[in-house]
Amino acid sequence: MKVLLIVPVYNEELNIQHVYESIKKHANTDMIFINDGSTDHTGPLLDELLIPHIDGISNLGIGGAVQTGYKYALENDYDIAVQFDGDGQHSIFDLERLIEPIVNGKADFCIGSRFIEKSGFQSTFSRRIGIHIISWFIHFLTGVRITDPTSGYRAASKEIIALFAKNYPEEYPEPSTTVRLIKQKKRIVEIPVVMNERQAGKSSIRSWKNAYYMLNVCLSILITALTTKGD
Amino acid sequence: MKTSLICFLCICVVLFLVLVFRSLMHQKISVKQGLRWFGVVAVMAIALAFPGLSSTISNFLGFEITSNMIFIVGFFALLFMTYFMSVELTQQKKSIALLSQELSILKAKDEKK
Repeated sequence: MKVLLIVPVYNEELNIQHVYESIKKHANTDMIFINDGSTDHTGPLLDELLIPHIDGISNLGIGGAVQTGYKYALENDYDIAVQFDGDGQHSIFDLERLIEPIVNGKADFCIGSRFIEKSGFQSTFSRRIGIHIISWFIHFLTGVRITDPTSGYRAASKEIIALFAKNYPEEYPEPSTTVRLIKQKKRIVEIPVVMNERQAGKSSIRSWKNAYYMLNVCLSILITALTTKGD
Repeated sequence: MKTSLICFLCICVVLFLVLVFRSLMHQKISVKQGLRWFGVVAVMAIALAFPGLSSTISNFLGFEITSNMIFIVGFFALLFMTYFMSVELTQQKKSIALLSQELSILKAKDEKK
């Protein structure tokens, strides 16, 4: 099966070399870095290290960058696409277990959750509270419990790649797409993964403490739940 | 209405008309948008030319004073305009994202060759 790692990066000059080398060393898969209009040396570094990449001509945000990866996966006929953060938070050693349910035909979409075995970096307190609220809200709307709805470590089958290439939200993509897939009765599984604290640099998500941000995420989930029709 | 106030409002309407016209000439706004604003100018000009007309309409609709009606009409007109502009903005954002993605992928393909 053809597997592609989609690695969105924005101003990650301090992390990309480490991330690239860990993928290259421990995984026998194709990868594509999506440079989302970085303003630091991420672009030149990707060229210099000969890392396969797409240079976004403008900054589209995480949703737009990841969707570019799904479009690339669709065009190049990949069977599985895996989102993998470019900040070193995800462990490449979990990759095989993450794609296993899709390879075995048991799932269409697999989410790596840091809250099943509760090992590794568990995120900050305020962010954990936010994640629990989102998780509860998704359960309330769909009846399905997703322990880590904001996880960016996710594997998608060919069918889901086509769906995401066509339509992927710009804002709050992880929880929204999860709700969409639940509503479309796709088979979603969560598997335990270990996440690390970001290796260097600053996260683009700085508004977790902000109630306004939570309201936006919940509204986005609600709209997705109300507007998505089942298959 | 005092003559000085009417003069002041007339100058404002003319200046606004010039602004819309200049923006159209310099292609800062589209003809479609320009037409909308010309409509606003026309309504303002009619209200100024026939002050009795707005009072009659206001009385007919049951407003206690004409200014209340003008405020309400202005408020809702701006509300709708802002709303439709945000719809347009979102659609344009989506188009830009789509273009940007397709172009980035094409560029990457081209560089690979």
